[in-house]
Amino acid sequence: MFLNIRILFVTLLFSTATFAQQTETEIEKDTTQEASGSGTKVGSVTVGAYLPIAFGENFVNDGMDLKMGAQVQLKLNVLGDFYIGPAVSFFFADVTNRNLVGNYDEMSNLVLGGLIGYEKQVERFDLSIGLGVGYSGYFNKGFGDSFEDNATALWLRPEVSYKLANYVSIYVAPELRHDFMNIDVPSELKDTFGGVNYFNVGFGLRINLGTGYKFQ
Amino acid sequence: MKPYLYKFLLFSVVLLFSSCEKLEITNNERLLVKGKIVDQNGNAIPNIPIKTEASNYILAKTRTDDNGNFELTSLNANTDPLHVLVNIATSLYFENENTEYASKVYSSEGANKQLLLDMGTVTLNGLGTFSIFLKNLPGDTNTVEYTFSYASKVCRLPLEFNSNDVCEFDQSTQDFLEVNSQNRTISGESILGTVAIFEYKLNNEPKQTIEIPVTNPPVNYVFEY
Repeated sequence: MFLNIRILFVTLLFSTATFAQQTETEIEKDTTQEASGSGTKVGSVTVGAYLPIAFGENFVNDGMDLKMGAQVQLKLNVLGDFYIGPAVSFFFADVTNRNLVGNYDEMSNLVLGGLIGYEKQVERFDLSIGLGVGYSGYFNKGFGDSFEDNATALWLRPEVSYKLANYVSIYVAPELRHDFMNIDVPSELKDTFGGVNYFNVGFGLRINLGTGYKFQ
Repeated sequence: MKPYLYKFLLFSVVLLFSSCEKLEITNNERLLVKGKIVDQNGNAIPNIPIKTEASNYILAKTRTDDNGNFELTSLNANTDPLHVLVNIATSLYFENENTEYASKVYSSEGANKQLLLDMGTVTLNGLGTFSIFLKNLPGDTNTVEYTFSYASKVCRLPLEFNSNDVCEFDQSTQDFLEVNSQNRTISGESILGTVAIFEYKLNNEPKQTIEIPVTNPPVNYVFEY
């Protein structure tokens, strides 16, 4: 867990530093941009729904009914078309097989992490692929007490966005994610509690940051 | 009337909160509890409830299948003892669910540290009764001081699984019979195959012990003094 938080902080620090540099450069280049008709692409913010779909033999897929959640992601272009940024997502679930997972009722999953990736614009489309890592918390609630399971999440996230206006796009992003669970179990339960596979789908609104999006 | 009502309400609230124990479930941990339940003849017993419990909260529950086997994933308690309940209907009063058989309650000494609770084959004996008639013979001037002890229908055991489950004698009654005491019968329900212990001192002489078998159908014993 501490490793995940450290990774997150390093990512955020790096993102902030880069963003600050980008802003300074933007002011200097503003006149040039107007003249040349290009501009600076600072990055984007995506906010949208998050549809979790677990698969394989694991306690989430076999013992829970997953509900929709949401995700927020900030992409900051750092080197040409390469970007980094923080990402947050969450979703909810009801326990359906207490015999398999234990006697509790609900679970909320929260992922805090960072993403690194590459994005390319093709006419009104922005196509990107990113690799993310972060802390994944499973917050469980039952009759007697609340308790937590946690994991290190690793995910691959291709994204396609379509520009509706200069600074506004819609996006869809399928996501392949694996949570390496930190749950202590006897060897007989390793397959069920060792890790969880997801094929998640995110979709929603994207705000494009920077004048570079205006002229293309 | 009103002061009594307030006192009653206050007492109820205090009682309510004092009876609620706080359960702390261990983060990032699951236990596997498995085994097989058979009767005293080795026959599998289906549909017997198996539960894990701490601080009166059920952490996991299942039932034995047609072959008497069970397997369940359980949460674990962080600080409180863990109990594995076999054939218990309500954990609050420890009542047998299947009334044909005894029940067993396995308890950890402190917080449980084992991830695998493999109970192996657990034998649930049937239930039987014991009965002894204490008869005061007319003309005799004897007195009897006695203690009667036996295992209840719920067998309490440590959370260590082996085939030698020896149930505690957790029920007892004692009395002093005077010269002119009335005849009486002492009887009760216990685990088939065990014995009830009748310890007595006749006229304050050294203690004597009689073992009364728990049987089904019951056998009535007579003790004359």
